[in-house]
Amino acid sequence: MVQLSLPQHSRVSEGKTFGKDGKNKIVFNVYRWNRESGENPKIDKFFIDKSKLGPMVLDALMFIKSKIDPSLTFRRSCREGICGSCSMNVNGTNTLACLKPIVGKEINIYPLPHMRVLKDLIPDMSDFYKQYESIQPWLKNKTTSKKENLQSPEDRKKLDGLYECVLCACCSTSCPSYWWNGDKFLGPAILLQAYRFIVDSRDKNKKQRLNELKDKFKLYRCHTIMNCTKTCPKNLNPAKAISEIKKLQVSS
Amino acid sequence: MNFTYTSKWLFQKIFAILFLIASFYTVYSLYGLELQNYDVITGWFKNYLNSFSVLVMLSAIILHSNIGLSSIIDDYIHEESLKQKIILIKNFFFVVLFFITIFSLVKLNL
Repeated sequence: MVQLSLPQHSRVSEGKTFGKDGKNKIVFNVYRWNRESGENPKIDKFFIDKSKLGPMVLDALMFIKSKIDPSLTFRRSCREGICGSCSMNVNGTNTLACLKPIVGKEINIYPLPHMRVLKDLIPDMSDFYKQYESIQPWLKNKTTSKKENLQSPEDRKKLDGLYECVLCACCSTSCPSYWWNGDKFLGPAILLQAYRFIVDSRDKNKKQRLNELKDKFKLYRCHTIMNCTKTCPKNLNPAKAISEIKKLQVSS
Repeated sequence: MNFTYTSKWLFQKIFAILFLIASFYTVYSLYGLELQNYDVITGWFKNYLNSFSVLVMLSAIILHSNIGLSSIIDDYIHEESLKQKIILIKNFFFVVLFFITIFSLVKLNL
């Protein structure tokens, strides 16, 4: 059965407080957990003067790491929404910290939900990447021609809204079906990628790709809840891609 | 016929549409009748078209719910043996419900 309550060792308690409340201060409540400590996760509070921070949540995290607590652990790289590294849950919504502006007096920062946490804000993405590998995310074409594989502007247009996905996993980890069946359901991010290769005119493996997805768990755990589309920090529409796959399966 | 999950998914949508059409017809044809009067209602059922629309409506509900409930069971029950038992009970429940529907409609028309 689905486990509805948190196990004892996952219950979050209050952690350390850094700084004091005051005028122009913003409080950042940040999830902290270190496997090696053997303790339960904690929420540390950081009171920071807004004038010292850049505009985005990632700027605040980098400020905390460089000026207050160097042990704070999170992934980041490009700082402009291209690499997808800094995906986390900010104020209850999965997003990229580098694209999320600091708004309001209190910011709650957690790792992506329903993922195994490695440390602090870093989730274990290995299952997610294995699922990505399972859809064979590369063009499959038997041609041996050494010429450039051209595409008409119309065919290229079909990839718009699909190729921009940075695999940050914000959508997959906001999906309740992925929470309950993350081991079998591919999730919105991977299905969007699967659709990206299905509709690519240069790929000649469309039928096999569709057959691979003809599974009640891989694809049909999607119940069109639309959390994926709502949360996508790149404003993509994975739910639409999933419904297009279902339509193609019915018509093929 | 190769009965894949794609077919089930498609049938669920078709049953939902059938249910909507049949329920609209049923409500429309009942509109204006004296619903508290037993004879008026049994008389309404004696019209074969009305009985047929109720049969379509209830069958569509049963079949749509059967697929939907299987999906919910797949979502939340992960233990295979428990899942099989629950699916068996669910199927039995829907078969009984279907026969009660048929029996009731036949009885009303005799």
